[in-house]
Amino acid sequence: MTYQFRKIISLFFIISITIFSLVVSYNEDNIDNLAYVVALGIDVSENNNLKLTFQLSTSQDSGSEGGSSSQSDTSTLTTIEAASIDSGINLLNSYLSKKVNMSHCKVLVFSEELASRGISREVFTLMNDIEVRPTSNVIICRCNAEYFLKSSKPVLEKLSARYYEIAPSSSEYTGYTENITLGMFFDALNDDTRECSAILGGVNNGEIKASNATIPNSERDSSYKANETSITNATNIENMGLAVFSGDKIVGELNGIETICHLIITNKMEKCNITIANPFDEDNIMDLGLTARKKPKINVELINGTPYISLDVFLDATIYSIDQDANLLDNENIKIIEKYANSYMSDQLYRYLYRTSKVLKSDISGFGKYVTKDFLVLKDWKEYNWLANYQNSFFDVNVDINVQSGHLLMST
Amino acid sequence: MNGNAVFRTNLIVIPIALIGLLVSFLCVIPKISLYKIFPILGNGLNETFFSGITNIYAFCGISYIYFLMPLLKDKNDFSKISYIGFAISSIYLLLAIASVLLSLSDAYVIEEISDMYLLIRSVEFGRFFQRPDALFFFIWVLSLMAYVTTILFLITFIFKKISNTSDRTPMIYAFAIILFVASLLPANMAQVRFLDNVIAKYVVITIIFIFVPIILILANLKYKKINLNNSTKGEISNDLSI
Repeated sequence: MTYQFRKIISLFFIISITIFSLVVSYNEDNIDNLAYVVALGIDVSENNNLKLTFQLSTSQDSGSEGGSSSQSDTSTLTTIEAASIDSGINLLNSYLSKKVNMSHCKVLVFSEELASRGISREVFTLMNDIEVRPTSNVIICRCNAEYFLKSSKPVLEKLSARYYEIAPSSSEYTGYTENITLGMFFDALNDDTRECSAILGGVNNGEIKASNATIPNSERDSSYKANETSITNATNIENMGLAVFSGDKIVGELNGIETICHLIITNKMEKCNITIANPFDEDNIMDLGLTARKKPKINVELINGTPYISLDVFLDATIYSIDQDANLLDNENIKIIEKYANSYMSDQLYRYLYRTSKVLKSDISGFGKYVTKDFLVLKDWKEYNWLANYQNSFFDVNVDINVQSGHLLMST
Repeated sequence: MNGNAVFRTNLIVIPIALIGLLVSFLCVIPKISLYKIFPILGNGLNETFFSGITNIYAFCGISYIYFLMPLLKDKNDFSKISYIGFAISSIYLLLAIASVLLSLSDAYVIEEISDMYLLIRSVEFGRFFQRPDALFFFIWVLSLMAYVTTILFLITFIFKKISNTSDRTPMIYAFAIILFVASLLPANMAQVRFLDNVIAKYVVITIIFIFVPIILILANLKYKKINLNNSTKGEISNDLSI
């Protein structure tokens, strides 16, 4: 066999393998053959099975132009009752003309009813699925998941997938929720130093809940949870607050300001607004923009087996609302505002900490990791059982807010 | 298989793999929590330092250093190459283990590849580049190919020496087929894990820490004996000539 002949044969083999591998890929997993799920809702059915709602991206998604699109013309919803997620997908595959693909699923919505029974089986199954991204958001909705997805109407986006992708990122500038992903939820679920939390979702129909009417003006805006806000618009979904878990079961909810406290403690707060009573006019309010100056200093000591948690928080504040007679160039005035802001945030942090420890009994802030250094071996740590002991904790909170200035107007 | 082709391939693939590993470590830094090293003694003193001594198997790459000597053009570079190779491998092993242990929860079963893959899956480079795992997988396949070709090269090299054959080209096909078939033999991942964690682990540890030192000691004794015999013969012949 000559060298030339061997070269031709080798070339022939390489080209054949390349061509055939490309042809197989074209036939099997082509974009035309796949039905992309952009959101998955999981409820409990009347027969105690899972009720799965798949929001599938339609071909119009990429082609729709102009104006805001509604649920009906960008995606389609299909609901299936099945014993498990995978059997539900299987059933959907037999029903649809295309193969269901979960690789673009942005949101996993669990109903509160299912979350109160425990969702570890579903979470482990989803993490075990190679198509489902660990970066998909986990939402616990205060209604059923099917209604939540039905009510999802992207207002400023054309694509449902893009809407779901961008919506949770509002936490970066509001602090009213946290961008919690499946991977983060799974990690917390398997961690014995903390408990899980998830985004709290709901459907807003524009009604103001009667319970909110009793809350003082200065605290009302941050006391809302999902589906309680005072937004008047067509029925749509909203994410506000956090769902608190103990193990894999939901045990409570956090409202806007409690979520801000949670983000401050876990060093995830980027930017948020708080409203305090105006120190110069008790009948009025003052808005402050908060950013973290440095990482909070957390120390956890075990005193006779009881956790004593000391927390030092360092924040910078910018004054947003300004009155006609305001003078923010006077150092005394700044000191008074700082004192008010420190007192307000300190109260809120105490309220959050005692609520999570004494009422919800769930360490979603992850204080447990600061105690592990006091144990030499894992056996002792497991025997101590931090998650059960968190409810006995006592707290010492120090807040240091540095009020910088107003935005543009310093003195009027 | 020409040795040069293998070395050149490795020269291209290894820097890519090292850069990939470094980038993946940098990406998971925000997820890293140093508190995960506590409780500091883990499952206990005995488990960590005595039962866990077999974990030194992680450094099984050292065994390849033994095959380096006959392949070097300049034998004096052996120690330098060994030290550099050992240092680079150790640093990258540490980076890989640190990124897995300090960022993943205990629920993940610690293995060499799947954990790194799971780690990369949870990383996003902004909203535009959301699937770095595909790139990781590509680099991993390249690295694996480089590794298999090196192994195949060493096998045929040793077999050529043992069998004293002049041409090792036919051996390459035979060993490639054997390797391929052997890789298909395990029925499931549990068997693969058993082969890797039990069989290969103890075989490699035995070779590196028991078998090779014994060979080196015996070789040294033989070398001394031959030298001694030669010098005695030399002295006798000198005496006779006088």
